[in-house]
Amino acid sequence: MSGIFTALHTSASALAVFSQSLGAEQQNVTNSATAGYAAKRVRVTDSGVGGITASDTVAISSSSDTYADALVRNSSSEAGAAASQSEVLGGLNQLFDITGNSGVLAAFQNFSSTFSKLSVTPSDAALRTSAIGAGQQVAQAFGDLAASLDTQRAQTDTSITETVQKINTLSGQIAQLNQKAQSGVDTDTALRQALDDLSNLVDINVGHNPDGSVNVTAGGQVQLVSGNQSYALSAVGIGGSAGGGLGQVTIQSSTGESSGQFSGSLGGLLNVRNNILPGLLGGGGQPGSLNQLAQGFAARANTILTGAATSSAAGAAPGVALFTFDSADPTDAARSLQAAALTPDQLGVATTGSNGTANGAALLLSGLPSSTNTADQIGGVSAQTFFSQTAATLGQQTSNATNDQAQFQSALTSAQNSRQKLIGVSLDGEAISITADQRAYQASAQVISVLNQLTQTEVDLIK
Amino acid sequence: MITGATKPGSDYFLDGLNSIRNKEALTERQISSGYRIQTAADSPTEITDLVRLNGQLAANQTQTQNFGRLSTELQSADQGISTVISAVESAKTLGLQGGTATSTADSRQAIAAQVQGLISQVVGVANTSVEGRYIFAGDSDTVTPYQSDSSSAFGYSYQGAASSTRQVLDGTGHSLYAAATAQQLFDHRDTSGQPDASSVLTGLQNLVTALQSNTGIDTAVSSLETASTYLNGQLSQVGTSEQELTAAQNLAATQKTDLQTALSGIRDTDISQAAIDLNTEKVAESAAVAAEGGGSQKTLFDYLG
Repeated sequence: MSGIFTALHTSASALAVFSQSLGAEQQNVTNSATAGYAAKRVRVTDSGVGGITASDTVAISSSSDTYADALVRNSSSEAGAAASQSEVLGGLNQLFDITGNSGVLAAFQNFSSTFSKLSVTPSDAALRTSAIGAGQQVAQAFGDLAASLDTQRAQTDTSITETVQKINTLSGQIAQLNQKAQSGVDTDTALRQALDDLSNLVDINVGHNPDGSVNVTAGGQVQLVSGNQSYALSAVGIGGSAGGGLGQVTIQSSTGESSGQFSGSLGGLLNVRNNILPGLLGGGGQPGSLNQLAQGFAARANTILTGAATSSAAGAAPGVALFTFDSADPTDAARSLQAAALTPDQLGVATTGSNGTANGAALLLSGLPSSTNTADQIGGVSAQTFFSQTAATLGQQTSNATNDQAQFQSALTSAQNSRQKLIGVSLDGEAISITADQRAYQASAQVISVLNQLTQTEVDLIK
Repeated sequence: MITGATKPGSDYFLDGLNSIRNKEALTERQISSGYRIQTAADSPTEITDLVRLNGQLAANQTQTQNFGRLSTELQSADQGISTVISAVESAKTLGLQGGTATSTADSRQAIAAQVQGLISQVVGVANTSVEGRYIFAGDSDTVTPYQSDSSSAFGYSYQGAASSTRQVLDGTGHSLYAAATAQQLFDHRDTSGQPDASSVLTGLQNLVTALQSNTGIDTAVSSLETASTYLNGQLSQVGTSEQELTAAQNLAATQKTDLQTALSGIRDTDISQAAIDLNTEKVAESAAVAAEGGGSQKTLFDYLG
């Protein structure tokens, strides 16, 4: 009789195991389309007695894989950095018109053309007025470009602030999920989703605690989440400049920690804000290529104009400087560049001295934008080439960011798919498991039914 | 079948489709605009050349306009000097008529009046202006060169600049035309500043005086010969400048074509190649969509019933 009861007990245990297994499989099928869901696996630890016994332990575990998660998050950070840089640089790239239809290049061409025409009739008051107007167009073009870059800088600052806010929101959510995990709630899926989202914004390192909670640091060293505590980041240095060019924007944690190296969207934005924009507008000890160009061109034009005479007549007055700019702050040259409201008779068009000509200065000014004379050069090249090199550098950075975006997005997709294969739900596999478990459950139930009949028969015999 | 928020492979498909559509958009933009390069990011390594060629083309166009302006000026100078040469020839003929034995005092006075008219004609030529600029006034080209002056021997005095230092350069930096002033052309002076035998106006005035006094007519006519020779020399120089200008214009036209060709080679879209690319991209997109749509979406659950 005791053998039958043992068999009954064993079959009941098997039913319980298969029931748990079916429950896990049902959960897997239900969540097969849930983002970040890791399939549940039922593992029975054999007690060594043989077969499924009451002493066996049943554990339901997640198929999550920390390495796969880390790979996805790293890829997501790189894709985020490339995407944010590509977006901002795309806007910056549009500001540098290289067709000559508008902007600085068009102003240079008009300056050259107008002074060239003036050189043929240097006394023509109307052409002198046009030449002064061409100078004003140059100043306007630099001012407009500097203002547009300032607008882009302000938009980038706003994006940095918004990104930091999103990071702080996600950090808070993760801390809350940690708290739930510590109280035994299954937060695996929600946590994975939040960490994935966070990694797109900033590169993170995730440390797993035995209680299911995670610790998160950003940029290698800035603590974001520790247990149920999150630490807010803040962007320092947001805003314009009051001299000396653009200041650097740094990210600080409420713990006082900071890092200069971030990836993710935040890192991409910071790279544009702290490296590329100062390279154009000045900051961090560099004048900025736009200011260098504006100052170099304007100063040289003024030198030619003031060294010239207003005509070739004896005793003619010297020319008056056309451009004014903030010479005390080299990072403010483009913004502050203005053309003085000269009268036509103040314009220096004639060169002086024994070889002076009535249109010598006009000829020099007409050739100034493309001149390769050492005195006319800026950074070893003509003003026109300096502009084109600046635009080309920015264009290369934009092109690289666009290519990186596609490449890193592909890498992210690959990492996500690899992880999905590793931890995702296989409906085919679940179908097989459910069928097998269902059959096993039915078989166990049948065993119990037979044992029940045997028991009844034995009881009847005893009677 | 592994499933997730999206079907496995769907992200690959969407990335690929996005890439194809980005290429299509770029190709369509290149075809519709006609330009392969519109921003620096389109081809950063070619931007410096593109900007240089654009600048050179713009300078070429301005240079061509300047040449046109100079051409008008040279034609006017050529025509003006030719007119003065004709006037000198007429004066010589008139002088010869006045110097014959059959001429009377009245006829000589009438001839002198005609020569006086020729002086006015020469002054008119000297005061020629092109587009508001007095072309024989030297550097003071806004001032009328000859203005009435009763103290002057021939009734006019020169008010323009002593010289013309303006330079109009060709594409190689060579000065095309060194314009002479009206005084240099029509009232040539010696080193002491006195009119010499090449002075047309002085020669004509001398003829007028000779006709009126009936003395020295032959000498006056003969001095006009010197002036005529001098003017022909000046006309020849203008002609040389015109030839050089024509050569410069032709060179500029050739350079314009070369620049446009070079610029087009960098900037413009190869339409036929772009059309092929666009067609290929469309086919790739259609094939990708069809392949993705045709894949089986079924799992074992669908067969379990």
